[in-house]
Amino acid sequence: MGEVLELRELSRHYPAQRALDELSLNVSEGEFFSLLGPSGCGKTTTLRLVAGLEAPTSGRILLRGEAIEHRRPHDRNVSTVFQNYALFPHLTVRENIEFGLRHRHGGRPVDADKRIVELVEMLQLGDKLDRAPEQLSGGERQRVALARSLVLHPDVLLLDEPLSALDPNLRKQVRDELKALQRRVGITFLFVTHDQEEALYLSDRIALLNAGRLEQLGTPQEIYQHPCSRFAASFLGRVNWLNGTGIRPEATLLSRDQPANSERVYDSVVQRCVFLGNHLHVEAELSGGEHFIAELPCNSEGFQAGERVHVWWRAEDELLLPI
Amino acid sequence: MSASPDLEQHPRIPGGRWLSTYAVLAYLFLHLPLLILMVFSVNASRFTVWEGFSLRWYAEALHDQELMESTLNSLIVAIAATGFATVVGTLCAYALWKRASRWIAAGLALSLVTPEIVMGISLLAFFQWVFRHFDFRLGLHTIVLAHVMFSVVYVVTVVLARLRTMDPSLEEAALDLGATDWQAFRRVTLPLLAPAIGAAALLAFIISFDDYVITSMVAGVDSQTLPMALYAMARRGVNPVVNAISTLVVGLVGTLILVSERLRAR
Ligand SMILES: Nc1ncnc2c1ncn2[C@@H]1O[C@H](COP(=O)(O)OP(=O)(O)OP(=O)(O)O)[C@@H](O)[C@H]1O
Ligand SMILES: [Mg+2]
Repeated sequence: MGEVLELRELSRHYPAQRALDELSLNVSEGEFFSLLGPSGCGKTTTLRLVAGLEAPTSGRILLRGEAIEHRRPHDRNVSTVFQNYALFPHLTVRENIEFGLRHRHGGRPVDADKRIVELVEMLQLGDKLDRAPEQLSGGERQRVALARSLVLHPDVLLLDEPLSALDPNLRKQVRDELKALQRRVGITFLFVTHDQEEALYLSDRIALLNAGRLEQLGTPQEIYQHPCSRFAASFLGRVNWLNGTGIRPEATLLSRDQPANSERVYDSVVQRCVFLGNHLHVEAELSGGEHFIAELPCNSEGFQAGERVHVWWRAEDELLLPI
Repeated sequence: MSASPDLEQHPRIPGGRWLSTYAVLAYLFLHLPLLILMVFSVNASRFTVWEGFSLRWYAEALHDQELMESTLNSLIVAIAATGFATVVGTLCAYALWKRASRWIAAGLALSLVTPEIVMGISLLAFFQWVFRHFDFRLGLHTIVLAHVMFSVVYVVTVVLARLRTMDPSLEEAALDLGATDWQAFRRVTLPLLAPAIGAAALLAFIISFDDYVITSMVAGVDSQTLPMALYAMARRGVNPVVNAISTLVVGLVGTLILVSERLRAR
């Protein structure tokens, strides 16, 4: 599979700040690629640079091998799903979806009607076509925004936190639908989120950004299991720091008897033990005073607060971080 | 005090009755003169004594050659000035929205607070200076130019207020979907602004139609607008025709303001 999008040392500097600093990455054809990072790390800036809504300070953007960083937004075959969806309030759902087809470079494609019918069916918008955007629910608005962009068959679809405007119950369901949709249409997604769970769940690969710079790039598993820094380790999930070693809560093991493994065993005192349905959540403290959390299988036996236990882990579960 | 259903009711304002009396009096003070004008416009007598209902002053007003001519002038000026001021003002507001400039905004505010008489005198001086170099005379066209000048700022204010409530990502979405800058403006921004532009145009029309001070300075000798004609008639002495035509003007302006407010609220 070839590269669709390539960013080369892309930077966007503001007088007071480097919103994006020398970001380089490749996105492959058909990939679900996520930009993950805390608020203000430059995710939206990256999308706006690719879409052409902002100009880079330096660096290049290649779309299917062609430099596009100097092209106007309407001259780039990418499309954005905005965070608030930005549906045109004075147009109906149908007119919103047809907007791009009307203005597309080179006129309306011959298969335009077929594309619309397919997407409308796929996104279940059939009975909403004549409504105004304000008469739609949040989930429906999001589907219209998707349809409006996908109907153009963009080389890359840019999505800026498209799930954040939805209420939490709906978010999980829409997340599944989004993933299924991407598989079905086969279009490359460049997806922005600050929610690490969302990124892990959806992505083929993740680029973790920190203060405008690329922190780490890899598959969800690589980044979760082999983070390259303390920042990456803690951004992707909880980490226990036990005498300087990083361990995920689900790899942190507790037992009353002395475990066979003798190298990585410490004494600790249980503070709290709660049953959370899918796991047993134990908070405890090392004798050195370090606080940690263990997530044990839900069928393990519970512990009493104040009980002394051994904490240990397997060598392969250690997060190996450069010092 | 316990939470009681009383809390649901409107809180009683101390001296609430006095407040409403005061409001009625203030309203009367504001509008009584207009009310009297309207009453005497349908009075059969020429003098300020009620003699019964009659529309004779309206009939006389409509047959007054000078009044009708000046009304026509006023309409021509107002329509032309509104057209120019709306286009210029809308584009100016759009530019200010895209690239906020404190200097341009301050310049516009300055023209809001310049006393009318000063503006009139400066315009007259300006036109006279221009006439040295070009073969021009004062007339309806100079009135139109003057009116465009002072009504643009009202258009800018109204349109800019609407733009500031508009989501900038809408225009970006249009560009993103393949529209050129012009298409994005034409197909997204302009339709969303239309009610505000309509309201602004009506406002410009009213301001132009009403103006006396500046108009009288730049009108020259042989073009007269309705406010100028009314002023001249009123100075010649009590004339119920003035009452009749003024009532019509108040009716027209009042209607336009109502429509304009409706549009602005959309
Ligand atoms: N127009 C601008 N002028 C100055 N600074 C800006 C501008 N736009 C963005 N920034 C700064 O650049 C940084 C990156 O912004 P960006 O919007 O890309 O963050 P983000 O990763 O999308 O954050 P969030 O998750 O909060 O949306 C921020 O610190 C922001 O303050
Ligand atoms: Mg953002």
